Amino acid sequence: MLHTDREREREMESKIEAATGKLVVKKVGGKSTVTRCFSKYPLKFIIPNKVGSSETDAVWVYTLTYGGGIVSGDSISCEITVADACTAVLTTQASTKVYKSLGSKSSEQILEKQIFRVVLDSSLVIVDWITSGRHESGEKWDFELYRSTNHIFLEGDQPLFLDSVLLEQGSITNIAERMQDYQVIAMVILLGG
Amino acid sequence: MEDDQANVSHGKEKQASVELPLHWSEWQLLDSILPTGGFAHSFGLEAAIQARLISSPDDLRTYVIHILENTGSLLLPFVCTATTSPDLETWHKLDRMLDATLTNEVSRKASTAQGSALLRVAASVFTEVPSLKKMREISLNFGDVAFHHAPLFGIICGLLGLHRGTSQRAYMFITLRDIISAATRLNLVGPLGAAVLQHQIAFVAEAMLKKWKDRAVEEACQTSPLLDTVQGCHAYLFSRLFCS
Repeated sequence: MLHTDREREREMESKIEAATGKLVVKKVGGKSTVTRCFSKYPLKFIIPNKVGSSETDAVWVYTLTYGGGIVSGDSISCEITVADACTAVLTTQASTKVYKSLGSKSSEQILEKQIFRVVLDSSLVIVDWITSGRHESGEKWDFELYRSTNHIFLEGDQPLFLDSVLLEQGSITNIAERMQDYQVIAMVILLGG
Repeated sequence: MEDDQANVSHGKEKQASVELPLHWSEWQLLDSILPTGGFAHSFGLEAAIQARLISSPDDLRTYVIHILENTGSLLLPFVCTATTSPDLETWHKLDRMLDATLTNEVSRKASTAQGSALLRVAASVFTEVPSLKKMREISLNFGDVAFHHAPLFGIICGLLGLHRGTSQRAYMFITLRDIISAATRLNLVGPLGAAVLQHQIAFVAEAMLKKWKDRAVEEACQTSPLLDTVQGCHAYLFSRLFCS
């Protein structure tokens, strides 16, 4: 079912309106600079000046969630635009922790989606990883559902890389069994020149 | 009264005369004797053995079930959409999407090899569907069609007149068939044991089908990232029997 252009436009507009964070990086005075930065609870951007080598032109953006973690019901969405010849690093201060709300009816479900729209000569590095939990508490792949999607599109919505990993406790197979004795899984994507 | 009965049974006969020959095509498509080269692929089983993930019949059973679940979550949407809309434009769109989705090079190459072989065979065998040959020729001329297996399997089923429920079940079946076959050649299980295992797992496969069928391709996801990683190591194996 193909959406019409108008439908897609409306969809995108409502997505931007609902965004918890928006960031734009442009070249100002020959340097990559954040020209627009907006965030609302529970998201916060921290943009320190002196990270990385002074010889490298790159903006470092740290995303924080108030409380240091995510609890059920949290919904965060960011839109980030990096202009030509600019470099931006988007990362977290520490690993993102997921907490189960006591007495919460909803099970621990984490859904993450990252969509990257690049042009032919863009460079992109993505690191996406997850650990099995807090081992001291006996957590080993003990959550209900985790879904992480990383899509990379070229111009004209051409799909370049579509990856979606779903770890869900099932009646037939559970996550720990599927992960065997591994406690961490990571994906590193390198694109460009 | 007699006329009505005669009409009903004539109608049923007419329906049967269309449906019954279809069974023969369906069975031929699922028969391992169809020369599509599926025997050259182990679905990561060979790499999993060498990575010491499988050392007992129970491990094999678990492995097969995990692969079937991943087939359901990742590939059934492509089979489903292709069966429902078996046209050139849909096929090419699905082929491009799957090419971007199969990020594991080993499984990507296995998919294109099997898909190409399947279309070549289907175009030659099912001559009552001339569009198969036409679509193949057009796509070979385009040059940037990858000929991935799952969409093509769906296209062929759709053009033959099979329902998407049948094509998705069939795709799970041929996956199960091929892994079990690879397991016997890797000496994990004997031929009789393999047949027993296949029948036992069939019930699980049906449950997987129920869970994952009739979804949109945008929902396609993988559920066994560990096995995907292990399969990707197949190219590094020093000695190997299979292509993937």
